[in-house]
Amino acid sequence: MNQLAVSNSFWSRVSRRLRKNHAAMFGLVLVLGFICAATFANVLAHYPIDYAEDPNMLPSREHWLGTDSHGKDVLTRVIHGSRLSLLAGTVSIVLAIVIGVPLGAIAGYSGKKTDQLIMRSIDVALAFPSILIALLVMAALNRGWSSVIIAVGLINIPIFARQIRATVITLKNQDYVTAAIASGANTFYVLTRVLFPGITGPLIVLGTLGLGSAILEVAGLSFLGIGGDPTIPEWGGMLTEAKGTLTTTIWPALAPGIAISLSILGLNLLGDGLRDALDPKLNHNK
Amino acid sequence: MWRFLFIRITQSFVTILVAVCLIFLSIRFLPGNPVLVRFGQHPVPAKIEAEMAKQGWDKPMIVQLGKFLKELAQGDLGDSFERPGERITDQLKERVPATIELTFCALLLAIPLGILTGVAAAFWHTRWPDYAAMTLALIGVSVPVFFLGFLLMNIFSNMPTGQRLPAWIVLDFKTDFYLFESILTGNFSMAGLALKHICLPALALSTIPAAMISRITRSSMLEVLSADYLRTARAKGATFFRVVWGHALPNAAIPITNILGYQIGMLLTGAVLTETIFSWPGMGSYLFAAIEQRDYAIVQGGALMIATMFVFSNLLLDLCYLWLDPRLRVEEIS
Repeated sequence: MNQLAVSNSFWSRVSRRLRKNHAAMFGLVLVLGFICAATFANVLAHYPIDYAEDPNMLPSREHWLGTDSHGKDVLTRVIHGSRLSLLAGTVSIVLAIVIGVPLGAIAGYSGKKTDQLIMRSIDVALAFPSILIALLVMAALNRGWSSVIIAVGLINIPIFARQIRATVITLKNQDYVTAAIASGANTFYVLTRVLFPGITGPLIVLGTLGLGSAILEVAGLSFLGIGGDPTIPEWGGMLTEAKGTLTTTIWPALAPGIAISLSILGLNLLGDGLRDALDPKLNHNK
Repeated sequence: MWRFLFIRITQSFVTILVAVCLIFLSIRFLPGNPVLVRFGQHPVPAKIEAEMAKQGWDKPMIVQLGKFLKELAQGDLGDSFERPGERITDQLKERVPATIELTFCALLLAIPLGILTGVAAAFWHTRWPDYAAMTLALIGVSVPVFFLGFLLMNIFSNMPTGQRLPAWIVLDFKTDFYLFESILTGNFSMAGLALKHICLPALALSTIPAAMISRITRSSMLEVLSADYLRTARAKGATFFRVVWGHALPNAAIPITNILGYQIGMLLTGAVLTETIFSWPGMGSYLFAAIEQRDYAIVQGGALMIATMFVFSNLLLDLCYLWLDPRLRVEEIS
């Protein structure tokens, strides 16, 4: 093989390691599958969202996964549901990153009192089960999917802040950072230009795994009946709806439940694979 | 050691106090209040003002907070607004034990299961027990509590749900810990009934912690198993049992304890969902209904209970560290 043709940058090595990891690739396929389902929902789904027939039909050739208690096609609603679940999960994780990462970086870099203050407040925030915080946010804001997104974003801030703080603390005493400070770089420059590249790895891993839990949390809130507009198909809401007919048929619950599980499984597999591929401590001589 | 304990306990109380005050203030700053909920869509302003004055909600925030803290010190959490005369301390006295029993049973399932599968996976690394355990753990992490609850209820549809004991039972318990008390007093037929009611919700709640414990056990065991002192132990002819349980696991225990601390918050969150699905009469379902209705006093009381449970179980875990890690003990003493 022509060794010279093989790119040897950090990221190309990471992607090569990732491609050798079958579990991670399976996760990637699952994630891409859901992204495709969300993007091409209009093409993939056989029926319009609100098209209704007889309720509670078993799976058949016309309705592959049966119909729900309103007679709507379950497969159609699961495919369309992936839109809201993925979107809500992604936006809330972006929100958590935008707030959590600067907080963690400042806490880790400045140390002392600032660190104490930020980390103590985060400890207080963590002293509550996330669902309680989410419920309070939902109570404060008007009902709607945007409130769900804000709530889920808020409860994920501590996770990012803590991890980024830990990473920054290990990085800030390294020689290249000291060199940057010695050559007159200000704090802002050090944080954004010198330290940030070291943070990207953990951030990608955490973001992938966090997206899984965000999707779970969105579905959980919506399952509890505090989601947004119920006419928009969404997995958690579909499960709540299926609860009513659970004693007679489990079919309407099966598809959204499996969809939630599979998307989280995919993101977990991908996240674990990324962690392994990005970890310089693991010795990869491949 | 005593100094450390003192500091940690003080810290715990301060965290709980700050958290409760935050909840107190934030719920009052939220738009909408219980009076508006009660009087419906076309409220008469005078009536609202009268009700607000009666409840003391027209006073400055700081005065309300002071009154709340004073009553709290006397062990009084006030009455429910929605159901006048319902004392919150009485309700919590029944419901907190239900939640504690549920989370305790879930942990009792999760810890041994997680540790056993994790140890097996590490010991037979890259062989079938490893793959089997890790696949199970992945599925365990990925399936949400509320979906699993559905599946369990559908599969075991003959199991009772919705209460802690059958309705025909005459309750003559001294405490509200039905399961614990009947086991301790040797009333095993009663304990069996209680177990039958608790097992499905506890199982649903236990899978995610079990899976996480299993994964962390595996990775920390793998790290420990390659250490020199373990090779020495094996070379000296120590049995499998002795190597794993005597040497490796105690050293792998610290990360496992660490993940447990993180788990407790998640368990309490999971408890809210589990209690909703199985209609378990615990704190989670009580609190959930109260937030919907803006029943201030219940939300405060419930939040206080949850924060207390969380902070003190973490304190307990810190003490476990001291017990597990001899290095810490030495540092603290010297």
